[in-house]
Amino acid sequence: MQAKRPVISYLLLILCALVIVLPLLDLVSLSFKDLPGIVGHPFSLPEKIYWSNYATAWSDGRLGRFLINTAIVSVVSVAVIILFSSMAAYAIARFQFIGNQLIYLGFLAGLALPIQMIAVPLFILMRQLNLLDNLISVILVYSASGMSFSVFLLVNFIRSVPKDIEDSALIDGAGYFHVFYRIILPLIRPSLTTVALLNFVSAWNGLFFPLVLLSNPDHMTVAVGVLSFIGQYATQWNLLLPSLVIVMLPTLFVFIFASRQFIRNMTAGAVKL
Amino acid sequence: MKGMEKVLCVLAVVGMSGGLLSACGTTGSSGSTTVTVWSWRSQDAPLWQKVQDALNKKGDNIKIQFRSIQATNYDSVLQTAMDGGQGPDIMYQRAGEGTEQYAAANMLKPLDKIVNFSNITNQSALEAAQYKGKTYGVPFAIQTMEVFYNTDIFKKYDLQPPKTWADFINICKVLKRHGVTPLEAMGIQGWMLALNFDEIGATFLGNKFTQQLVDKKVNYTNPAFVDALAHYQQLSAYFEPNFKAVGSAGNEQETNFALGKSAMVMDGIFDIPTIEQDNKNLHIGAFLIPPEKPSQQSRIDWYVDGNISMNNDIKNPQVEKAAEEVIKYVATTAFGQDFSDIAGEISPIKGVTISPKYPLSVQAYQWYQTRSISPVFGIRSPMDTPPPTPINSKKGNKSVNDTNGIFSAEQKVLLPLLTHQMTPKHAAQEIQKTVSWYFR
Amino acid sequence: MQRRTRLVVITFLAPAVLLYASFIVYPFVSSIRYSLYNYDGVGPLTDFVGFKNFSYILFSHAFAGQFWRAVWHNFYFFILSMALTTVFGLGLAYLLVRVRESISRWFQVIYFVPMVVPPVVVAYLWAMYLEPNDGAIPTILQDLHLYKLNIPFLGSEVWALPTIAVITAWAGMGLPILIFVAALIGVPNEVIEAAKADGASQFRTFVSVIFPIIKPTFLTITTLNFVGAFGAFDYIYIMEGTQAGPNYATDVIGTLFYRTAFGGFGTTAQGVGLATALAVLGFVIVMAVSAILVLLQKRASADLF
Repeated sequence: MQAKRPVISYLLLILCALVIVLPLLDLVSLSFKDLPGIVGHPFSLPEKIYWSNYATAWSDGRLGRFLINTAIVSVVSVAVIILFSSMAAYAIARFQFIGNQLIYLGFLAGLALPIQMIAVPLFILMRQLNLLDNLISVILVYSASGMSFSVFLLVNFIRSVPKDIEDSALIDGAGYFHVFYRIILPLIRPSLTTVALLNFVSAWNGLFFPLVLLSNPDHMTVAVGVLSFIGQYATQWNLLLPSLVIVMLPTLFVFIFASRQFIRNMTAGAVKL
Repeated sequence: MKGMEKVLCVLAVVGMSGGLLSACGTTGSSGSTTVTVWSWRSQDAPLWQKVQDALNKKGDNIKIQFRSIQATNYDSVLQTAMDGGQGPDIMYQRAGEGTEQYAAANMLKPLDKIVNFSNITNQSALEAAQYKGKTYGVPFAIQTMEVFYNTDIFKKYDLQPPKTWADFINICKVLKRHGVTPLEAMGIQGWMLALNFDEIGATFLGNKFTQQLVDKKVNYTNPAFVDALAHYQQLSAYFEPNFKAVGSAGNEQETNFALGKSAMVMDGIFDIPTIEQDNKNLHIGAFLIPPEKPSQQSRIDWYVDGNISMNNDIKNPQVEKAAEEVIKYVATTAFGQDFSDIAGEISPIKGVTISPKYPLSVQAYQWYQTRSISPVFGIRSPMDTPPPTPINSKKGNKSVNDTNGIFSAEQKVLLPLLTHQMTPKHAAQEIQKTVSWYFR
Repeated sequence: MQRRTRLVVITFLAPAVLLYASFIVYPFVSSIRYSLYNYDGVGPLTDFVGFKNFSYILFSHAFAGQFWRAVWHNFYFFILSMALTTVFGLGLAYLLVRVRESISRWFQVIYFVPMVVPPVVVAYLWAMYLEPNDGAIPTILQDLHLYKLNIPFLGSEVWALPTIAVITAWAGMGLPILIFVAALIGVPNEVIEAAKADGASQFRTFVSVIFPIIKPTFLTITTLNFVGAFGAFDYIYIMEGTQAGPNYATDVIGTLFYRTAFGGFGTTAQGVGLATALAVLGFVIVMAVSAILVLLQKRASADLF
C-alpha cells in the first residue's frame, strides 16, 4: 500500500529519526572527550579527539574477554528460545486442549515478575545443579525468562494467520512436524526475527544474573565491564561511553542483518491472505 | 530449512563450550590457600594486593582473590550469595544496619576473640559493627562532611571562611548580589540533602544534646532540633535556581562546583576526587558549619562507611584459618596506613597518618580528632539502626516489622522543608513519628 | 482429543514448559513464601506472620497510602505509554509501510537503536538535556521564547512522570514499531483499494478498514505496555532516586518494592517479607488485567476469520 506522494511521510519519518539520532550521535561525540569536556561542555563537538579513551576502556573494561562470553551466552540463549518457543507457540495456538489458556497465561506471567524476587531460589537451584560460576547457568536463566515474551508474541502471530494452508497440507496427509517445519516456521519468520533480536539485546545487556550467578571475574559479560566504570560516588564517563559504543556495535550489526532477512521475507509474498 | 541446521549446529558447539567452561571452574590450588574478598570499592584492588604481599612476607601462603561489584548491585548480589550458602570468605559490609542484619542471621563470625581491636579507639565507630555485645566487623573508613569553597571566588569578592552563622549568611548574600550561586544543592538526591542537614545538626546540636538523644532523654521534636532544621531551611534561599529539579544525573552539584558555577558546596570528603577529576585546576578550601556565636564550637559530622567482616560458614578449615589471618591484618596500623595512602580517606585505626598529598583529608582528619560530633545523631547512629529480625526468636512479635531509621526519616521531609511546603516544626514531628520505634 | 495429537502437543510443549517451569515458575513459587514471614532478607525464615504483610500493605495507615498511590502511578504511566505508542508507534509504522521498503528498513534500524543503549546511559543523557538551569532543552526553549514550556521537567510533581514516560518511549519505541509494521504489511491491498474506490478518505480507511484487521496486534501491544508500565523501574530509580521524587510523584510499585526490600544509599530497608508481599500483589493486578486483555485479543483474532 505505497503512497503516491510520500513526501510528507518522509519528512515526518526523518524528523522522528533526528530526535532519535541526534542524542545518539552526541553519545558518540562525547565518547571522544576527556572527562572535564564531557561534564563541562556536553553538547559541543570535541576540541581534541581522545582516541586513548577507547584503548583504556578496552583494556580496563576487559571487553575482549567479556565479548566472547557474552557472544556465547546471547547466541545460545537466542537459539534455544527460538526453537522451543516456536514449538510451544504452535501447540498453544493451533490445538485445543485442557489447560491451553492456562499455560499461555503462565508464560505471559513471566513478564510481570520482579527478577530480584526469584534470585535467591535460583541461586540455590544452580548450586544444587553444580552450575554456579558456569555460563550455562546464565544461559538457562535467559532462555527460560525469554520464553515468556517469545511464546506470547508468537502465539498471537500464529493466531492471526489463517489455517487454510495447514489444513490442506494435513488433508494431503502431511504430519504435524512437517507442517510445523515447512509451513509454520517460514510463516512466522518475521516474528521470529523480532523475538531473536529482542532476546539477543536483553541477553547482551543483562547485568544482574551474570553478577549473581558468576563469581569468577573471567566469566563476566560485557554489561558488567561497561558498568564497572560507574563508581559509588563518581562515574568515569570518558571510559564508560567508549566501551558502550564498542559493545553496541555487534548488536547493531545483528539488527541490520536480521532486518534484511525480515524484509526479504515480507516482500517475497509467499504468504498473503 | 537451512536456519534450523544452523541452530542445531550452534547448540552442539555450545554444549561443548559449556563442558569446557565447567572444566575451567574446577582448576586451581597451587599450594597456596585462596581467600575471596568482595567489595563495592573497585579502587581498593591495589590495597588487597598489598595485603597479600604483606601476609606472604610474614610466611602465610595466602592468595587473595579480590572481586569488586558495582556499588548499586553489591547489596543484592552479596545477599543472594550469602542466603544461597556460597558467599565470599571476607566481605565489605555497610556499617550499622547492614552488618547487624547479617550478624543477627549468624552469617558473620564474631571477631572479638580473633582480632585485636585495641587500635580502634573511637567507640562510636566500633558500635556500627556490633550486635548484642559482639563485634562483627573491622571499620575501614570514616567519611566526614564539610562545606567546600572555591578559594578563587572567595578571593575575588574578598571573602573569608565564616566564624558565625551570620557571617555565613552574609557571604551567601554577597555572592548572590554578584550573580554567583552561593551554594549548590541537589533536590532529587535526598540522601545528599540528609547528609547536608547532618552537617548543620552537628554544629547546632552539639555533643551534649546528641548524647541525650541517644539516651532517649529528649526526642526529635525538641526545640534545639527544630532550630537546626530552621537554619537549614534558611539556606535554601541561596541555592541555585530550580534546585528542586537538579540531581537526576547524580552528581550535578560536584560538576557545577568544579566548573566554578557555584562558590560553595556542602559535601563529603569522598566527593573530592570526583570534583578534582572534573577540574584539575580548581583550588578548594573547606570549613565547618559555623555556630551562632563565636564562643560556641563548630563540629564536624562523620560516619563509618563500612566494615570488613568474615563469613561464619567457611567449610574448608584451611581457608577459614587463612581468612582469620586476613581479618587480623585488617585491624593493624599497617593496613590502615596502606588504605589511607591509596584511597586518601580517613582510617579509624590509631596511628595512621594521612599523606600530605591529600591536604583536604589531612585537615578533615584533624577536625575529626579534635571536634567530631559524638555520639552521631543521623546516619549510622543507633537511631538509624532498627533492630533486625533475630534468628532464634521462635515466638517473634507476630507483627509486621516496618521501621525506618533516622536517615530515611530525614530524606522524607527535607525537600518539602527546603521548598517551604513544610515548617521546621512539622518536619521535626514527621521525623519523630518515623523513628518513634527507638523511643519506645 | 486423539491419542496421536495429544502426543504431538506434549512433544511440542515439553521443552519450553520444562525449561520455564524449572527456572522461572519454581523459583517464583518458592519465593512467595517470603511474603508470609517477617523477614529482612538475610538468613533463614523464622518469624511466620501469615497474611499480615498483605493486610498491612492494603489497609494499614502507614503503608496503604503509599501502595495505592504507587498503583495509581503505574496506571497513569500505562495510559501515558499507550498514548505515546498509538501516536508514535502505530503512526510511524503506518508511514513506514507507505515508503520504499529498502528505505523503510533503515528507518527501522534507527528507531530500534536506543533499545540497545543501557538505561543508565539513556537516563544520564536525558538528565543532562533536561538539567533545569543549563540543560540543552531549557536553553532551546528559552532561545525560542517559549517560556511557558520551560518547566522543571523532572523536578515538577505534575510533569515528572510524563517526562519519564516520554524518555521510556524514546528508548523503547523500536519494538512496537516493528510489530506494527509486521501487522500492517499483512493487511491485504485489495481491501484498501476497495475502500478507496468507495471514496473513503485516508483517515476513514484507516479507522474502519485497516484498524479492525490489526486490532489483535494492537491488543498484543496493549498487553505488553500494561505489563511494561507495571514493571517500570529503571528510569525512575536512576533519575528520581529511591525516594521517587519530587515528593513521591513518581513512586511506582517497582520503586516502592525496591525501597522496601533494599533501602538504598544509606536509607534503611523495611524488609524482604513485606516487599515480596508487595510484589505478589502487583503481580496479581497485572495478571488479572492481562487475562482480560488476552481474552479480548483472542476474540479479536477469531473475529477476523
